[in-house]
Amino acid sequence: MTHGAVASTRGQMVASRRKNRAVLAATVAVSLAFPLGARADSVPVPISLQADLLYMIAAHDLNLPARSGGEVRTLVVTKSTDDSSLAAAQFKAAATAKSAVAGLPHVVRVAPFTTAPALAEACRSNRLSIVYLTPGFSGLEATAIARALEGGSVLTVAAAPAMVKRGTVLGFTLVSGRARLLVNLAQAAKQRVAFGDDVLGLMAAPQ
Amino acid sequence: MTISRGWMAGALAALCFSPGRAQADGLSDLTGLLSEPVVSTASKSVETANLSPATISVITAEDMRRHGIDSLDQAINFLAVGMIAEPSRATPEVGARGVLLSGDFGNHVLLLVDGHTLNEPWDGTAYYDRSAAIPMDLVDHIEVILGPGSVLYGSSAMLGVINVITKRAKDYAGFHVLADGAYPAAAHTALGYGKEFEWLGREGELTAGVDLSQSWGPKMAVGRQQLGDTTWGGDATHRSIGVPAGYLRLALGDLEVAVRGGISRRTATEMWGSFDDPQNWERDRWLSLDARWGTSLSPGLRVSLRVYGDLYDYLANDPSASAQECIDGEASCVFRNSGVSRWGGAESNGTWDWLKDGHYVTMAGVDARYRRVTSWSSYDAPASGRSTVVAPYDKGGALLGAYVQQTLHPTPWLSVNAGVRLDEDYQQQAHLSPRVAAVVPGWQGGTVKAIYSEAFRAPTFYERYYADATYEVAAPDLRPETERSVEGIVEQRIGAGRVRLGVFRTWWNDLVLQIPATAEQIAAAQAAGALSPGAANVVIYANTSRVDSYGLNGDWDGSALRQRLRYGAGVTLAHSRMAADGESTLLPAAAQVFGNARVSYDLGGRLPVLALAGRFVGPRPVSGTNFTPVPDAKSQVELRGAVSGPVVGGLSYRFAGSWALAGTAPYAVGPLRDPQPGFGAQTVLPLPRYQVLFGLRYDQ
Repeated sequence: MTHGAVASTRGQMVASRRKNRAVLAATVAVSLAFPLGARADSVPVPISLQADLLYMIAAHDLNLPARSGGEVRTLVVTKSTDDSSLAAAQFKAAATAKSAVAGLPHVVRVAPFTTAPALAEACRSNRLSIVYLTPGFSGLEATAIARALEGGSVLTVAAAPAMVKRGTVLGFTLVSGRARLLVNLAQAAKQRVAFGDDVLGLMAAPQ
Repeated sequence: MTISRGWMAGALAALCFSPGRAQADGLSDLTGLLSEPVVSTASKSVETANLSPATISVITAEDMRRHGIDSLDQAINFLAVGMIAEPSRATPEVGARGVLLSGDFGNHVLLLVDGHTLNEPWDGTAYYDRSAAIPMDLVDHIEVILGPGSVLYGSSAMLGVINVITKRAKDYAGFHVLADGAYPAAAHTALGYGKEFEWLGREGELTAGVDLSQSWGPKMAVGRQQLGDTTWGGDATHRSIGVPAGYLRLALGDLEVAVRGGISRRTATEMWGSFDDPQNWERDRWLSLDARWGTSLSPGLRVSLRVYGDLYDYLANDPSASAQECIDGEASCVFRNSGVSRWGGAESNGTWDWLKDGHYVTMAGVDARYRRVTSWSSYDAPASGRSTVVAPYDKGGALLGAYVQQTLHPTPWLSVNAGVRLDEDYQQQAHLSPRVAAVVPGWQGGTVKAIYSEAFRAPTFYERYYADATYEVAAPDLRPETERSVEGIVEQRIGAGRVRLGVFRTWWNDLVLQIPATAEQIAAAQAAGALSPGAANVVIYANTSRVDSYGLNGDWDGSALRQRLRYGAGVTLAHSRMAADGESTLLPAAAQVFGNARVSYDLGGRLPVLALAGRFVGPRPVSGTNFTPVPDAKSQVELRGAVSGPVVGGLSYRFAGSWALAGTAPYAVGPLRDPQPGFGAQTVLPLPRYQVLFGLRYDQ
């Protein structure tokens, strides 16, 4: 090994350490500067409008009467974030005002998220018709929920539109200043959600 | 008769209660709810337009695309209600509900891009045609808010607030390229890019666009006028406008940064100086940065911080071959006027949801800004080589605005929004701008609103400090213009359509106008050396007039056939009068009757979208003339048709054509503003009556 080669290697090591430090510093700086992972507009559609839209659409779910067993039950699932808590409170207030959905009595409950299997079990045991996922779920959690609910019969709805392509059946986004419905048709079939053709024409697949 | 009534009642009951009818109604209601605009400008929070404390038009990119519209003034004229853009000498002027203050350079409307103010401090300038320097392909939608908006935005939000909201990356993914060509000669190219990404576990997005538009001409005949020993007028052949602009928006987690830059250069604007001289030009340049961050500190408390900085400069270069427009006896000269604005600041905002359910929400914010303006004018005489700089100034100072807004939704049938903003200018008295709005969604799909609001416009640096030793005295003691407004709105959603009717009454006070200076003001200026001893026709800006206005605006819009068919119409009727020196007059160039209508149909699949739009403007007095009586500009009717559709892959086309009934705008041009022997009428600005456009775009 020549002197030049050693110098070069040392130089590379120093450069590599500097680069690592720079990456570490950048990571810390970014973490400090952007303490939340979700985008500020991750819930672009007002929660009260989401509730209005949801219960209009739910009336067009052909399997809702069979699923509900005479009473439509909505579970609002929360995460331990401030945005989730606020969305849950706002959604519950708006949803509770809907005393009947598709002509059936309607009740709303709020529960924290633990695990996807536990949520699936809650859906089965409590005969839940609608599960509303507040903001704050990770992509992995959304996917796990979708897998756990396959084969069941429940309409999952997400406050954040990004959840739909990760397996939530229904979501809301904003396009040109107007609300647009997003639907994951493959997941809808797996969760026995059957929207009529008329309402499907008003929905879009997530991109 | 009884049988007939009974039969009708039965039939109605059957219609109302049959399941099929109920389902159809449900779908119709759903379509209507999806058509309800979601807005964020009127109260700085996301809400549906029917519950917002204002009259709002939302112009979507889709509507602009269908109708072949790619500038703010066209969008306002064909797709909004209550607001109007009049094509003027250099760039259009904007008015609303019967009030247009000619020569204000757009400073009675607050123009925002993604919430960032474009009106600069030197003269409050904001443009509405391509000179706005906003890449229009990036525009997602435009919120046009009628009436005072100072409660949250401070100065200039008098006629209204226009917020241009750019596309999110999810709606603008990939590369986008477009090229348009038009006759009379104009070209427009744009390149855009959008991408969503994740970095270090955080969601992010990037949208960016650059835009270049250039128009040449059209050649137009302008009536000749004698100006001293020269003649002004003839065929205008050197008109041109070139506007390169760019915008970039980067968001990562809760941080968002936007950068905007643009240049507008316009030649031979027929405002001053030699006629049709290509060296007669004016230029504006902008560079702005806006960074914002927000987060929730608790379930009820959300805070945000925004820092911003802007650079703007204006330069006019006006050669004149008339001794009347030059000084010191020079036969010809080049007049230059420069204004440079630099401003930056920070706005902090907190929202506290008392019950954490959206029913009682308090918002409070502080906007601290520092502004610095430098301006000068000069007369350069090529023959003598003499250059005379007149009244240069360099002024700066801080501005503090603090606002609080309370929204209450105590019952499902009542929503109240009350707020007030205090603006403290380092040189002027503090100003309070309150607003109280009650919104009653009293029945299915129906809403009633009652709004009281006030607004103000601080006098610009130009109005306070511009001076010219030959004819103008500075007015540093100007007071803010003020406006009070009351309005009532009834809105009804009918399926996927919406009908809205509003009535309004506004009182404007202390409007700043240029008037002849008094003998005392002239003597004082001459004693201070600010005015030449022989100065004649000396003018000064003063708080001299008020405007009373009332009227109504109505609009109807909606969609049918699964939103393939879209339609809309709007009309504004106003009675606005300006009072000054005991006289009540019509406002120059301010139409009291105007409106628009549009329809478009998407044939579906690979077939085109067909669109037709029209607008009308009633007669209005010509602006900038001293003729008595003031001549009326002809009523205007303008039609535009557009066809657009896919070609292959991501390639699409559009073809649009427009036709105008009147070939003139309500603006006097040329130096002749007073009746003189040999001239029977005021020369008004000619306009092209036809335009055709063809464009291609590619979306990856």
